[in-house]
Amino acid sequence: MSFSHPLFLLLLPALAVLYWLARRNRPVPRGPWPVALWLRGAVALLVVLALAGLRAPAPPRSVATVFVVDQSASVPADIQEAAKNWVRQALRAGGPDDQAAIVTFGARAQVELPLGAVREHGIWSAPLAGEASNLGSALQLAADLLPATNSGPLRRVVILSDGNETLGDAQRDLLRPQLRDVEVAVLALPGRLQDTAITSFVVPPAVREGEPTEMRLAMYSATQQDGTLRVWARGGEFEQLLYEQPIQLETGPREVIVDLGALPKGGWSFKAELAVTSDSRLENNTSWAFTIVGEAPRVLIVSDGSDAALRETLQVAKVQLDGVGPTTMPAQIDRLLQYEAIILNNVHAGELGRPRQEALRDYVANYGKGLIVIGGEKTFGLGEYADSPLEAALPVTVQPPEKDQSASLALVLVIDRSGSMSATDTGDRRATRMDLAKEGAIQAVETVQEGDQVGVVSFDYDARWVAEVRHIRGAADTRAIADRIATIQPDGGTDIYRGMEMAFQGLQRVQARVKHVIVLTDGEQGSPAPFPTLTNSMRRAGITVSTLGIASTGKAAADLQNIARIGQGRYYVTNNARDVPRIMTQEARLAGRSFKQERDFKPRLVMAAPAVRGLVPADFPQLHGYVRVSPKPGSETVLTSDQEETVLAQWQYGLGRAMAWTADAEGEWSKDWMGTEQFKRLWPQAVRWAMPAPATPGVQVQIRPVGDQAYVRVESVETAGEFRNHLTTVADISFPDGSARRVTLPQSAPGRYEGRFKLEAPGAYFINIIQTDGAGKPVATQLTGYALPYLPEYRLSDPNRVLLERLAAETGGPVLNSPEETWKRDGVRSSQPQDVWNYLMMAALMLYVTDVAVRRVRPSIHDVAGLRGAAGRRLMSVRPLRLRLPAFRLHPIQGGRPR
Amino acid sequence: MTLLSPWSLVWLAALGAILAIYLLKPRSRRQEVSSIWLWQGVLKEESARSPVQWLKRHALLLLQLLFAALAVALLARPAMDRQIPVARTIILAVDASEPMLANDGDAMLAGRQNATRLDEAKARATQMLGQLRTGDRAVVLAMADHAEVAAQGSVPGDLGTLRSGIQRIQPRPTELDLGHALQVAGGLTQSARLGEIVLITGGVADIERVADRPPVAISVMRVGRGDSDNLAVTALSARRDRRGDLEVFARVRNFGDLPATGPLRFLVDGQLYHEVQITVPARNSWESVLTEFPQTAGIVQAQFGKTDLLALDNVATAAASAVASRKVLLIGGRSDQLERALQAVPGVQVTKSDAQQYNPLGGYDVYVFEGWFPPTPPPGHWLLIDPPARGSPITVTGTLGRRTDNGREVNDATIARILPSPLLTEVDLTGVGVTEAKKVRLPEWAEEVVSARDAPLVFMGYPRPHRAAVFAFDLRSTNLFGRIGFPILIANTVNWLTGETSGLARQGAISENEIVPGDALLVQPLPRASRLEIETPAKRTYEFDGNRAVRFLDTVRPGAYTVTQFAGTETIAKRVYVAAVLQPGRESALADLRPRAELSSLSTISGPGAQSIMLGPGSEPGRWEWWRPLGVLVLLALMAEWWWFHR
Repeated sequence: MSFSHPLFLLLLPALAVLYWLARRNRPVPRGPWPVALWLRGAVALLVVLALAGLRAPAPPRSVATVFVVDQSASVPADIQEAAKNWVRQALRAGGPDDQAAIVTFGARAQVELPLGAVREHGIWSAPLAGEASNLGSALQLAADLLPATNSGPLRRVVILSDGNETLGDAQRDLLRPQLRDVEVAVLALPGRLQDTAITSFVVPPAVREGEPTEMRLAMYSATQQDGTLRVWARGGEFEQLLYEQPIQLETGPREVIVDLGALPKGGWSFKAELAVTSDSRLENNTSWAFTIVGEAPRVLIVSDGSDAALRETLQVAKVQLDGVGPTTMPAQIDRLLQYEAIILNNVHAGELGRPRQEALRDYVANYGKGLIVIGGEKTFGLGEYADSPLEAALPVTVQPPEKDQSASLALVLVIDRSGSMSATDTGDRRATRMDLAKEGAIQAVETVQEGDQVGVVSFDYDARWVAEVRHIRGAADTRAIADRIATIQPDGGTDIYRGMEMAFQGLQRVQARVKHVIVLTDGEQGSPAPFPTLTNSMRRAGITVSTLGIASTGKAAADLQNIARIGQGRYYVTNNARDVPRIMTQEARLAGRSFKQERDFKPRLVMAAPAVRGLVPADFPQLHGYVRVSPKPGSETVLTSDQEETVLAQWQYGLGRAMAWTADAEGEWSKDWMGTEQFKRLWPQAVRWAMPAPATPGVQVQIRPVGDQAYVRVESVETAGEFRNHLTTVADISFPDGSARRVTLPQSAPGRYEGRFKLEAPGAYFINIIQTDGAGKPVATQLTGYALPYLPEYRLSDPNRVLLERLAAETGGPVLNSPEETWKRDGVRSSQPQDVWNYLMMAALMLYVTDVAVRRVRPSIHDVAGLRGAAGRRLMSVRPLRLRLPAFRLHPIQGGRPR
Repeated sequence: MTLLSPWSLVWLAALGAILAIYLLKPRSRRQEVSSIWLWQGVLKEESARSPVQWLKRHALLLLQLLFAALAVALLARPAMDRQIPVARTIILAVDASEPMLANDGDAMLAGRQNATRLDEAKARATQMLGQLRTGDRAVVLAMADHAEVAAQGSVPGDLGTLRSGIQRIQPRPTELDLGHALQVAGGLTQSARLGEIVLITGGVADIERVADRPPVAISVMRVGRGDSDNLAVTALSARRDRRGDLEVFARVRNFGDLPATGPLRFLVDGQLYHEVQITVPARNSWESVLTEFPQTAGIVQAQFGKTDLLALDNVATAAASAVASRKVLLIGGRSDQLERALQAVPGVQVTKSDAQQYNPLGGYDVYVFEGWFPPTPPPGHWLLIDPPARGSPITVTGTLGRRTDNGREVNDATIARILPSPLLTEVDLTGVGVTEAKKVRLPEWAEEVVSARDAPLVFMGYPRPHRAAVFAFDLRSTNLFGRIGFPILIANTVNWLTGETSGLARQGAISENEIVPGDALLVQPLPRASRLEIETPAKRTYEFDGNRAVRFLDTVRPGAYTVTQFAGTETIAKRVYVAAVLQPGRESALADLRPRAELSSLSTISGPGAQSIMLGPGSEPGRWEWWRPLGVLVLLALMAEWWWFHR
């Protein structure tokens, strides 16, 4: 509680005078003076308090409003004029205590009219520069003009805007202290300019030398009309008109794609201009973009050497190539990181080994590089990719498509139990080759699915069924066979032929769609045997054979390889018996699956992808075979066979990209493709798609506009992820007008350097970041750019009602419909100190009339009792009230004087 | 003369009421009195027959009617238009920003030991009041990051108000925005006959930020000795590297002309963790990156322990808290990619379910629906992918996609507009294709993020009481999966839904955890939170029960504000916000306490049209309300009537 004119409190002694006047005649008191005295004292007190300007909490009785009027370029001139008229009407509708001010805003805000009890504002100042909308700044200025919180009036800001702010953040500014207790009312200005504009101009910001580039221009036209589109390119001293075409614009959007071909190295800026006959705004008919053409990429080809055509094609496309064999490929990630992509051309996973595969997986997933796997006889399902780190990175699994998965399998394991299998060269002195073979066999049996059939044959000089071919119907069957396998003991010589023959006979007796034999041996056939005849017979009977040789060399290895080749199976050889369980398990998993498809077909295009850009499906040459794989969920199949099986698939894996081509590159399957136009386009495009965008390792530059400045943030890390600290970081900036300036970016956080520069005009800015250590030695450099196409204010956009309504909702303000509503105080529940003199005076007047009545009518105790009785009679059911009489004395003498 | 409150004339009814009271018959009662009393009455009856005595007889009534009439007139607020003498309008703009706390103020003038620049500024402003002439109007403006009218009035009537307004100015630990202060001062002097702005400042304002100056005379009054003996912790930032190890970067700058040596202490969560003795060369910096902080560190503070001009900037705080854990329920999951992308968001635990087993009561923060929406909205934030044609809060009016238009194949699901949004931070949508999408109507609560030509494709908003985002297409109908931007888009969406990314970070701020001292801190609790606790740098704790957004106002003190969310008794999220004074790249503007010479240029450059409004002393039309004099008359009438009654 406070007083605006406390000096008037000096009138309070008047109350004492009233008392004195009343007490003067105390010996002969006249009238009910104690009651009247109390009433009179109260009236006098109220009048004095009113004069002293007592302030007490009450709902606001007036409104202080600041009108915030948008004068930015996004609001058409006629709408701006209508907004001014609206404000004029609102001013006239204000009450006597209401106050108003006007703030106008564009890029900045200014006071059009300071706060006062104005009811007219005829002539407005010249409009502000409207090249931006800074609604937040206007809100803050408006709030600062309002009377202080708790000063009495309701504090309100009325926004008349389209809500399309391009500077600042009005919603964020609501958290500013001066906007507390300010109610924001909004009037969304309608309309949008009938405008034609370039709405987007996109060129890849960074490409590599030799990489074909294209630009995409999106336009919007308010009317159907003819125009001309021109594009200029500038790089260093070079500048030329790149494109000039007449263009027919329909009402609505239109897109134009311009092929730029391969640009020379360096920074290139592009200016696009749309000339039309009818347009309300020309500023947005010109736009800017940039691209930086960097070094030609380095790519590593891993193959056995048969890749001449592929190399030639890539070299023509300005890709720098290195070639290695599968066993000489570096396994250290830091050595791989010098390449943007790696191509595996018909590489067996076993040849790569697990460390190299893991490095490849990390190379793609964690370092964002590219991997292309080209198929062939040694790849995917045929090349031990199953469950390998390499398979994890690929967009396909090595399992053939699902339609084969339901095929029933009959598998016979033919296991060597000759005496040599008791050797303990396994790395574990307690385990023999036989132990590991048995372990592998048991795991293989456990791998087969329920419903499949399994048998086990062991052989030395002779062969016998360890377990006859039987259906696996559950764990009990698996366990029974495993128990039988465990009984095999090594002894005697080696007769592989007898073992295979027994397996052949056994499989002939059973029904299954796929029949497969796995032969495991560490020796050589003791006596000559017609393996080709037997294997061919088996093949004709639909039985395939895979072989696994332990330390097999010379003729033994040749025989096993031959058996697997004729038997259309796979041949494995290992010098380490510890690999046997793994190989057996994998082989059992792959058993009987048909991994290879050899047929003539023309690939089908499933989806347009960068790798096949410009290729016409009708012109595709024939392929003659491929390795059957299944696409992984989330991958994109680009090309399929005539049987809709994957030929080319791609996906994003972690930070990088991987692609699988299931045919070979320049072997039997793709002999018709070699040297064709399709071949020459496919591989460079595939490689470029897979490789990451050009960037300096360890440096990431972020540029974003903040007002009329560009904010530059450089993140700098070592390859292993540690922050680079204490570097001197500068940005050499090349401005659109050709001038140059250097800006220092001080460190602001571990590994982070920040700074700003002024965006002076639309155009392309090139920024070269240079980081040096304490000794001045360069640590990293990166050339990047920023294009300011045209000011965001000139963007085509509808009113942002959501923002405006959110501002109103968050402050409890209304969405206005009429100027009169500016001064509405309905529903305002908050109380704040108000000058309450009028309420005091009303109370004084009422008390005074009561005082007169008391003195004139002279109510007695009997009157009160009578009233009580009457009330009691009237309200029979209501308990009579116990009236507490005022503590005054009724005098027995009531004068006969008129009063 | 006008009546500002004419409706108050209804109170004239009070006069009628008084007259009505007099029309009532006075009650007669049997009363024994002395005979002398009766004789007196006879004499009065005789005198009353005389007409001239009528007034005397009814004087009481007339006085009562006069009182009522005056009171009603007063309530009607009579006012007269008149010319008010006006001389100058002086804006006394007192700098209250952080550098004004430097203790090199004039102790003699301020009348206290260790006077700050602000103390001196207040004393000088009070002195200035004494130099004002009768008729001058003065406005006291307290300026820091915003400008606030502390008092205003005319001389000599309001001198007391102006003096007390000056004394009430409190320092604000923020940067001085001189441009904004001049805008406000310019507005206040805009209609003045003769305006003048007096800037009373420590002289560290950044003149470059003044876009334009008001067209009135500006004079600059410097306070403080202008010493440069100040060291400040100008940068402190904590970040975790790829392995999650915490690194802290600190910079101490010596703005003085002599080398300074002192201890630099690092406190982790309030406990001294490391102390190093440092020497900072004159006008130079010391900076270092420290490692091996505890993994659990939440708040890191650096304190430079040497006394200098300004103590406030010898301390800096940085937040090192990890992201909040959030529970996400995925209903649908048509593709592994979405689930994987959700799982990759730091702090997110994903539970997958289907529509039949949907249970909204699992206490999830975010519900992700693919092609289905429950009959009632979930009790948390939600992301709806591919809205169903029926049974969702999104109105689906058709489909977008490839079609033939006049023999030409077009795809009206193609992206046509991309608007700035926290959902698209670091997301490059170039080349993203949408083959088919639902044609939906943008709800009133939503704002567009990505749109096709005729319908929104991605939008977000607040359908109360929670946040929501909608992707109007099946993810499999796009090539988003194959893009590095997809997991970032999903992470951004989850972060925005759960308030980890508010989109409200101030421009140029290092992180979203930074606020400006004095700005409200907006906390949007996780849907399963039942209680919030906010601990201020002064270790004062505020509790907020229930689950509602909190606009926390007690943020004037720089330092760490720890917001802890509870579900029952379980702590489900803890986040540290730092009220920081320094802005990246602008740190020296604040901590270098030397007066800026360029500030003087403000007083020498005269603004455009400065002379045109300088009309000199005169008068201006105004309105004078005279209800107070009437009020005095009312009081007098009251006294007179009382006297007459008791006469």
